Amino acid sequence: MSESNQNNDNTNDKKTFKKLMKYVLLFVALVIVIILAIGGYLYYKGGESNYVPPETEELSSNKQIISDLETISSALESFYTQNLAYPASLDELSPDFIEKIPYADEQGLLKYEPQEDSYTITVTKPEKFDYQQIKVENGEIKTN
Amino acid sequence: MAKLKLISILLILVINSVFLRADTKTKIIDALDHHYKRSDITVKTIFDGNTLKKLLIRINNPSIGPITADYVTIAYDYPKLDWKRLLKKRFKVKSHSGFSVSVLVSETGIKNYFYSKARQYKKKGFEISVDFKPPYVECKYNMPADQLSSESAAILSKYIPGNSFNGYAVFNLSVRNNALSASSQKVILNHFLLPNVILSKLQNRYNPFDSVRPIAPFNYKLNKLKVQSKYILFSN
Repeated sequence: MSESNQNNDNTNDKKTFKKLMKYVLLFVALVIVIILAIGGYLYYKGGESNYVPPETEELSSNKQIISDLETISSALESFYTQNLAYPASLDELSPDFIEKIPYADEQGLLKYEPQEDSYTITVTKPEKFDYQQIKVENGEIKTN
Repeated sequence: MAKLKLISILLILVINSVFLRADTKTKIIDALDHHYKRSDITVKTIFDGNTLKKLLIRINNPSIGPITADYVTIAYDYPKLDWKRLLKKRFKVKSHSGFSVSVLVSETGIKNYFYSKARQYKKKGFEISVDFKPPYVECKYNMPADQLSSESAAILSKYIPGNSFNGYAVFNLSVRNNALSASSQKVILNHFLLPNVILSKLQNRYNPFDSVRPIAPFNYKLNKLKVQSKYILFSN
């Protein structure tokens, strides 16, 4: 009787062990699959077609105009650093300091007025960007 | 007779003013020419009557520490020059109502910086190309693994085996009190995109990675940096 009980216990232990091993193996397999998936993803993302900068966040039009004016102002500052004078027109900033002048296709939207040692840029249609006035004076952006 | 006197006084004033203006430029160049080649110094003055309203000094190709800049321009608003020192070929501004400095560094300047660092640490076989993609700086690189510093190799070799490290990196640069820092936005190494965990480990270990130096005889701290299509603009 006791021998048959012991045999039963052994069989149960083996079953439990087998079950446990099955779970362990499943877990290990899952970990390997996850590692391979992450590795595969990182390998896939590392191809030469991915040699591009991350995309910049798209801004709403009223934030975009401010960001664009900041870009133009710093390009003007760079032009001034190189030439000790501001350019006669914004077109002179391209291609050295700015790849493409923002709003260049919307003629007259940016009114640029250079002086000997200062400049102003006025946005002629500020309502388009939900502002009443947008102006840049020597790098300082003023809005209301 | 009175008219003649008036004309001669006016003439003297005009001549004096012209000479003063020309003299200011020459004296400043004389005071700076033991730091830089005369041909690399440009001085521009803007007068408001007889008062010096703006003084601009541009130096071409000066070394700003480890980097060679293309241009450094110093601008003073209403400066009061120390003429005693200026006559002794020493440049000093006693007071001013505004001061700004701007520095332009080209892609070549940054590329040469990487090569000079590689030479400084005796790294061989290092190749890099640099492109400015505002607001990022983009690099393609290739370097034998045994030329990497043991610290970096210890971090990277855990994840990426290989005899050479090559790939692509995009980073943002920043400057604070003349100290340069970089934050990687994307790094591809041996065809693997590096996870952010590794990038932040490297960033924390190496930032600030270098510092720029004010050009003599000026003193300033650069705190702003903007990447443009062909230059990086640093300013105070």
